[in-house]
Amino acid sequence: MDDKGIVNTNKKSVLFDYQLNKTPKSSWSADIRKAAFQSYTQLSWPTPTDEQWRRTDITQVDIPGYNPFAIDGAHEIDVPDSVHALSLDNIMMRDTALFQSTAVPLIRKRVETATDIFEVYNLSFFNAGYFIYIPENATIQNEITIRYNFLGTHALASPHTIIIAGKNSSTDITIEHSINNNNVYIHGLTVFLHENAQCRVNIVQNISKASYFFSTGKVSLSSNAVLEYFEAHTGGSIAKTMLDAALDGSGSDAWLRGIYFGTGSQHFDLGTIQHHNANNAHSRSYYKGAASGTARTVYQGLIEVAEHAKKTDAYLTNKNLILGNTARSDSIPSLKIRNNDVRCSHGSTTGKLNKNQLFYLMSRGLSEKESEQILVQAFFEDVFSHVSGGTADKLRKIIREKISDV
Amino acid sequence: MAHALTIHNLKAQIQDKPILNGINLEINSGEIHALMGPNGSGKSTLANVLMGSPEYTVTGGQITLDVQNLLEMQIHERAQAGIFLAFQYPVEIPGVTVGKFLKRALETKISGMNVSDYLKDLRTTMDFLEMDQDFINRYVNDGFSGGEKKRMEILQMLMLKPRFAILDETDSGLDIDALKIVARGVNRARGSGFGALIITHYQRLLDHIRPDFVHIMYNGKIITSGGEELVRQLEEKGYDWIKKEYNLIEEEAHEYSTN
Repeated sequence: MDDKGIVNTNKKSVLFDYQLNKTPKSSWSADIRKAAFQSYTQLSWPTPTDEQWRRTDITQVDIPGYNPFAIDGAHEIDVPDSVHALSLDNIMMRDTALFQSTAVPLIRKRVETATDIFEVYNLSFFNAGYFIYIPENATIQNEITIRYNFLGTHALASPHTIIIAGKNSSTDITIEHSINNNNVYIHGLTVFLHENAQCRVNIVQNISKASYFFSTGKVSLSSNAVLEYFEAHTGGSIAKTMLDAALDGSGSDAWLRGIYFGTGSQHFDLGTIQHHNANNAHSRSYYKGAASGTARTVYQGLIEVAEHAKKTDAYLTNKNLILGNTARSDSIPSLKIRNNDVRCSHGSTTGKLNKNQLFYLMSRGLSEKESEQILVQAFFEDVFSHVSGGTADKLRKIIREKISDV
Repeated sequence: MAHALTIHNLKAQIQDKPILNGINLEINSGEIHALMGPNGSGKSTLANVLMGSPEYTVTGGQITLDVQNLLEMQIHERAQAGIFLAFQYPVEIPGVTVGKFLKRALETKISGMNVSDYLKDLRTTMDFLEMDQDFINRYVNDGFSGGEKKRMEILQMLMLKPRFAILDETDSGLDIDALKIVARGVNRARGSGFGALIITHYQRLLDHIRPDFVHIMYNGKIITSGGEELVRQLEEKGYDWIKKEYNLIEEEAHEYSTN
């Protein structure tokens, strides 16, 4: 799609009209897009003067210059019959009652409360996505996998994934992000767990090294729901994410785990919020990262506890491994606690490979390079033990390959 | 085939502090050498320098394995050439399982290794050392007791079949049963293709592994060598006897004994 000529007029608006025309008028998506676009026009792209963006400068990335209509791709979903799963393209063409009654209110709420330009951009311009609905009381034995596989040149992928887990349901969902060349990728994630739902959401981000990745995720947990969220970032030139886990129901439990490994000049800036809005809720963040070359990693973790969220139990851990002398890791934990009846704390460490461990491995015949490789992989193993075997093996392989590049 | 590990006038230091002050020692295949001496005499330094620890700087002398110059070889090259160090304090490596680690270590020596043969060999050797098979899937030394760590070192030695093994105070902290198992492992390796340097403070390990040669180290030098009888003399008369016998300066002895 060639949009030259539009660039000189009001690009933002013309692009948007085009997208709207592609969407059937009756569709729910037209309203959502319009409202999101309204917010989008009022927000500006972040600069390092914004606190959240102090360590990640994207002023050189002309995001609106990447074309959201020039994106192609072949996406897949592996899902058992008992689960309702639909691509958003499909839903836009024929509205389903289930989607209307469950997902639309959630997205609408996101649009109304959004303050992040990536969030509203994604909701204005989403050009792919899936809606997964786990029925009440359903236990899904097999892992559900979504593979976003975008192709383009100077294009913009903007998928949105919506997951609704019914009461007492149990499920394990993996979302894999991939894009070629030099593109921009903006993911939106909306997850809602009903009472007692147990849901694992695994994100594997391994996009091309020249592309940019942005993600805004919102998860809401009802009473006694359990979320096990995992994200892995190994791809992209810059990756900047924010996952806001809202413990809205009492007794809910959120486990946020992540790994990131930056090599070359990669830049990762991951954020989590453990948002305690109800009493007796429990949350843990556990993020581990490694950086080599001139890579830089940032982890910003916030524990926010509302005044009425008594007996909150929240902890946040960040561990970083620096390889070489030119990589850098920043760990920025913070607490905003508005009542005294809580147990909240955080801990972070940053270090280099252990020399004694290296000597030990080498003394058994392993080269220095292989010993380092083994130790970097070993560093992530305790996080992998919480991820399905297939995903863990895939990540082990990616990490091994990345170390060989170092 | 017979091999020789030869140390000639070896000098080494840590930071600016000289520790080895001219060590001469030759170990041939088939020989078990015991190295004894008080704390701070430099025994562990010698073990680590032989393996190529980057903590120490070699300031003089040679170490050769047959015609190979060990000092020009990296740590893993020394291991591949057949040098093995059983560590005094084996490090814990969470995230790396014993099974995978040993498999990789063996693969550096044997190309095209058969995995099922390897596992069979591993299980048999573990049985021999009275080790639980569960250790295969545990992380290397992670949460092991002192005795389990030492057995793990001996297990690795038996699996890797080195030409020369250096056992750095493998007996320290072991109860008598564990000590016997360690000795059993070394005696199993003993043979015409295997030489060892056993570093120890005490006679008791040498009751179970009878050495061919005994060396006494003091102040970074081997001050006397002999046969098994030297162990008994030392046990009866103590290190003070050695000091008097060899006119060692008391001040120096004091300095090192407090290290």
